Amino acid sequence: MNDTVPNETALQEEVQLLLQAKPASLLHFGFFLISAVLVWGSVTFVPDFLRLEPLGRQNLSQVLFVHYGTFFVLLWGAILFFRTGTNRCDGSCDR
Amino acid sequence: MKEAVAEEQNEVVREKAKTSITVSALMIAAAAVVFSVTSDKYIFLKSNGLYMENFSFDWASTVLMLSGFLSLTAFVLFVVTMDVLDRLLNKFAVGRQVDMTNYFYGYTSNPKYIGMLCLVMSVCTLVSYHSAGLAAYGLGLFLAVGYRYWFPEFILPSREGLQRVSHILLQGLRGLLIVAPLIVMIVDLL
Repeated sequence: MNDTVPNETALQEEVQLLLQAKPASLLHFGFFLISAVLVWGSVTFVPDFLRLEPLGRQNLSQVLFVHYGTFFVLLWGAILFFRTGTNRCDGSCDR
Repeated sequence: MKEAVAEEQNEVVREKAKTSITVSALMIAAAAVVFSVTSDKYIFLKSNGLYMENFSFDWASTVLMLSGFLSLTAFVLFVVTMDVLDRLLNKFAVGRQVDMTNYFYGYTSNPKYIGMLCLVMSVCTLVSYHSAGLAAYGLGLFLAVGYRYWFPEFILPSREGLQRVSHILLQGLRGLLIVAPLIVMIVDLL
């Protein structure tokens, strides 16, 4: 019957795993924020430098949207990439 | 006893698959609607000569093409997900039931996840055709609200001070993600 009750030790292990992952997640968040700012900078200044039609001249909202979109896709990509390798999902859990 | 637990878990997975099939169907419909609206607007742009056929950057046609591409990708991924979830309800050979169910359910995880990402992005890109600031606000809201869900927070007693500081910083950052597009929209209007 012990197999049917929730395993206390396993639960504590899961919490410990989450706690260990916390500094890493902060790091990811910071990394992706910086990368998003860099992308924003590139999108705004590089086309101008290359004398192409600059996105920055469209308007600030469009630049912000490109920045947010890149950030969003990178963040979700990171979650997918890191969790695929680290979680111990046996098919019964979901992201 | 282990087999009994596995069987019980198997039933839970199959039960959840039934709900997921309904959700996937809704997502397929949403992706189809976004694709339909996007292609309509794109055809309108082309037929009215508003489409710029040169190398210079054109915001309207670019975001519409991107939205169409993303919604079509989401559509395909959700169709695959639904097909796999449907297969999950099949009866497999004795002794293979649990393995096969787990395999198929695990397989749906990535297409469902990427499909969701594509669908959110396609909707926001479509909104950006009308108002880029509003689309940025939507994404900012999604990021700010979803952050606590993607990265659950536990305060450790030994590192409470440090974690409180990081918590406050992150709260500020999340607030900024929502407020920034609204400020930018006002600035653009001026």
